Amino acid sequence: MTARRVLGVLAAVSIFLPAAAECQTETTTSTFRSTAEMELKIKNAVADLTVPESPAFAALGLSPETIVRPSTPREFATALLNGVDRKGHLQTGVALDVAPYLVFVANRITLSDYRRSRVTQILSRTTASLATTKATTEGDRTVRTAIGFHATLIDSEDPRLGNDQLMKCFSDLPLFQPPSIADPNVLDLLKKTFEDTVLVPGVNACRTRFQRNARWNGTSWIVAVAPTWISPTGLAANLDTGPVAAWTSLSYGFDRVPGLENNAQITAHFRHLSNELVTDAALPGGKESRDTSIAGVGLRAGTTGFGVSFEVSYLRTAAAGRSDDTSTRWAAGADRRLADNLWLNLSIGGDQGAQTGTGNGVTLLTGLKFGLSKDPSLTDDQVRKLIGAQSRP
Amino acid sequence: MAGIKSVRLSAAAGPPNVEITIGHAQFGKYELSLFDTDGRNPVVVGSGLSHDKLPDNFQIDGNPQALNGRFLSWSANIIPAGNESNAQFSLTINVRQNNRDVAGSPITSQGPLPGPRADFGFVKLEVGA
Repeated sequence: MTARRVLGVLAAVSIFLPAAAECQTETTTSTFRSTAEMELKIKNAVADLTVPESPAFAALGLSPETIVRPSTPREFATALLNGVDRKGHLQTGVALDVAPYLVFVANRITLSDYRRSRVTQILSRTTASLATTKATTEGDRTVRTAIGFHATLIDSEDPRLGNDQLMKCFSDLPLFQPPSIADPNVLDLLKKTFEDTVLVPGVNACRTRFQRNARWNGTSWIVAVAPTWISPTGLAANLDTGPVAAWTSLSYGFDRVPGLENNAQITAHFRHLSNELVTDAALPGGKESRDTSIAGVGLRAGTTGFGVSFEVSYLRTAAAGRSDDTSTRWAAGADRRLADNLWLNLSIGGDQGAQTGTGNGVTLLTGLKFGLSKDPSLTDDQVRKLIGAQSRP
Repeated sequence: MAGIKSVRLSAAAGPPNVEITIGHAQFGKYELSLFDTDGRNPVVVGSGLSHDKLPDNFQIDGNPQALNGRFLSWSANIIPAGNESNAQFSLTINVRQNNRDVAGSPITSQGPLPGPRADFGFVKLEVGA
């Protein structure tokens, strides 16, 4: 491919003060001003290296307000039956998230079983999601549906593992031991009193002393896949294969490495979306079937007062009848706490590659941003995504 | 004590075996006791933890006929071991003779586990031919 090289540079300075409005100025020397306005914010150079917790919702681009989470076989069966009416029409707006292994066998999984068997751990941490949505165009009866699976294969922060001191403390708490069972009404009262005055305070004291706080930078390996189906008539019988999305993230938290164990994490991420039908007037024929792959690596490190991050990601889009589009994005940042609720942020990012859809050029774009904010760049929400919080038997 | 659940043992079968299973991979500390026919004077017949490697089943030695009318009880501290928002618990008691559940077994209690729970229950032992 003959490349037409264009270099665009954008520098943006922004100052954020707590509870104050954002002030921003920007300049550009590029002919890609409109592109720069859209893409050259640092946050757009930062790839999302996380795996969605409910892949089916992500595959359909949904953020359901109400999600059914059945915890018994009966609730699970009811939720599935509600997905299709008696005439075979797929019901739209279905959003189901379930841990199938737990629904059916949780009553038989003891903590001992869980701690001894890696297979049990993985199955317990595996969730399935189901979602349906209909076309937004009036008169279009197309219904899209997706089934997703999300599995945490490795989780160094699993609260059921590696907490022997907490378990020992729980084990030392006394049991409710009534001298008589002659009067059940008195038993209930005594049991409630025992819970309130002995058990709950004892458990709280154990947690205060021995609970291991989950590291933000835990080691984990998460995989997820979500095939989708499309029914042009809205009938379950007419479902046809649609795009398939897959994700995986492997994070390493420098376990037992002095100096880094609580302060750094490196993450490798890959995701692929195949057979995506894209409709765009700029495309030959107005639409194309496209495969998209993104591979990225990120490094985050920091203390309570200082943090740095670096990410680089590679994006490849392939479609029949034209050359592949590839681009590389990178971003780096640093945060320094100046005072409580006052952080100095510095970030820089860039994008190098062909513009999707045109296939006729290569761009090299960079951006720089610094400012003050009340929070570090790595927010609590991001941390929660990073650690996954998936251990849920 | 009306409305008490019971399990039926056979005098001709071997000594009963009681197994306790605390599910959903929650922390559990438990104790199994035998009360006399008046519901008093408990005697511990088994105790343990749900996270250790020791078996959680116990044989009640002696002549099964001597158990007639007595009460088998269980007391357990069940504590959420994970960080899930909708934690559940289950406690199952299996009473077996000759490796088979007797009539009235298993007995299960289950439900949400928003915090530490003291679970206590008992069944009457009825011994037939």
